[in-house]
Amino acid sequence: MPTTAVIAGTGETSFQDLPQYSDVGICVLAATAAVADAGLTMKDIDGLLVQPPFFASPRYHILVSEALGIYTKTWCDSTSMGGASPGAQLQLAKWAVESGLCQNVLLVAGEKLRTVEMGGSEIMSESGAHNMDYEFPYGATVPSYYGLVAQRYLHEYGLEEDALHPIAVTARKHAALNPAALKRDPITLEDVANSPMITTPLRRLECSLVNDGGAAYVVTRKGASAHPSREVAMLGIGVAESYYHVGHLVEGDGRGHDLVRTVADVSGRRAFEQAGVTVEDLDVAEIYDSFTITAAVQIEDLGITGRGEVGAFVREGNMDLGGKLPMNTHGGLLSCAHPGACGGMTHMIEGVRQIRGEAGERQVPDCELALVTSASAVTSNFSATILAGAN
Amino acid sequence: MPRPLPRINRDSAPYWQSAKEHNLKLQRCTQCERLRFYPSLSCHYCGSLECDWTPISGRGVVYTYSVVHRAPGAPFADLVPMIVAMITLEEGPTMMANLVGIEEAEVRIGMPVALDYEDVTDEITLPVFTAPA
Repeated sequence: MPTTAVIAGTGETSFQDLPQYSDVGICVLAATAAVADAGLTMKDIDGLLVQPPFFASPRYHILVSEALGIYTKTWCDSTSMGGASPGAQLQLAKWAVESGLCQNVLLVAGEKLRTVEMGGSEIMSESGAHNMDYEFPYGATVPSYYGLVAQRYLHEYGLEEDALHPIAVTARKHAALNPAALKRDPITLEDVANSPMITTPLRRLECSLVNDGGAAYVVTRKGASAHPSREVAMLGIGVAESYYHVGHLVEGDGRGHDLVRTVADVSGRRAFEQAGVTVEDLDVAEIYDSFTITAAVQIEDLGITGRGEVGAFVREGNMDLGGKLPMNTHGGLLSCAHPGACGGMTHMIEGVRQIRGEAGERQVPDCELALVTSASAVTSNFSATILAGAN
Repeated sequence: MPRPLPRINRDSAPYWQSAKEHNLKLQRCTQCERLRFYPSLSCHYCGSLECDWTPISGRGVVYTYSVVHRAPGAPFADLVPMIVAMITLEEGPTMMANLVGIEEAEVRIGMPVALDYEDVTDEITLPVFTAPA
């Protein structure tokens, strides 16, 4: 019988400030928790996949393995898909386990996005997260890129500036039920509309948090963990990437993709086809939400709502707990935490938690099928993963 | 702290030189004849390495924009609010640039704009766009 890979353990650090730890140290905290959750030991790990901080050493994954005491690995590497890595890495880890390359793969990321000495424009100028020569000199940094997407989105569908505000309100409602979330006080549509303008049309409460933190998970063979009933299957994984410069995203591919109609539809189609399910079958959706617009374009590209309709859909409560398809039940990057390199991993871990039935007050009843997405590089890189119980 | 400036390389030197001369030129592929933005060794559409440098009309329309209110770091503290825009040129490509001399409330997606220049240093002139004359 062919080997089937499963997610068997997850771990997260606190999302409070962690200045006393190095980035590698934060990885150690998360990795240790994930391996323990799987009922394995570090000695069982023979594959390591790391999502490094933006300006890490090219040998960063080896440094992490040293810190964890994993001397011999048959696979040890980093990926550079930014926010889209959580799904893309799972695909690789699944292949590694199912092909026999590795027995137990540890995926980990950790970063001090908040207490780091270098941040904001320094990250841009030192690492070229976006283009340094034809974009950054004009004052374009991360929020303004998403402002460009949001402004065009509102224009395309004739919507008012507050159209996407319900996404922020729903995230906060769910964060209120998550003891680990950093922003738990309820907010209203009025609060979002009155929050300071960061870069039009995006206001502060439409922008994700900036935090320290780490996350990790273990991918192993079905039945190999200490708790097979808690193992989670990856029924489908899709990844799609397009371009980097905003002008090229605007031009698109001539086949329906452009700045606001992203290749997330390709990642979603692949994931749903592999899983043999449709949007209607989903019980919960954990959607990467670096900004309200980031979640909005994915929700529409994945076919959860029609074009231009996501704001109204969320405003009517359809993506609240108890609604048609609850989203970002942990509070997302908007209200739980955005700890940099592992930001999207928090969505994956929340998806696992929901499938395991371990989400406490925010548990979706009878949760059998979860969609988890991740995204990065404005509207360029995407992944979609469909999770279900493995046993 | 000075404003971040582009780094000039082999592929982009003619672009920045033409900006400095206030006569902006883009590469035109001599194989497929498409103009491209940004300067590069190969054509982004057909892969050809053959190109010439062609002056552009300077006419374009606003595809999208964002008015940056919170400065992205100290170098921009004195420049905000600044309008970051994507301009689709008459010749086809879409490029990022600031809109200058246009009030925030006046900016509309689809509005025509005209190329202008901002001489930032002796070496670097940034192409920008403004209201048509």
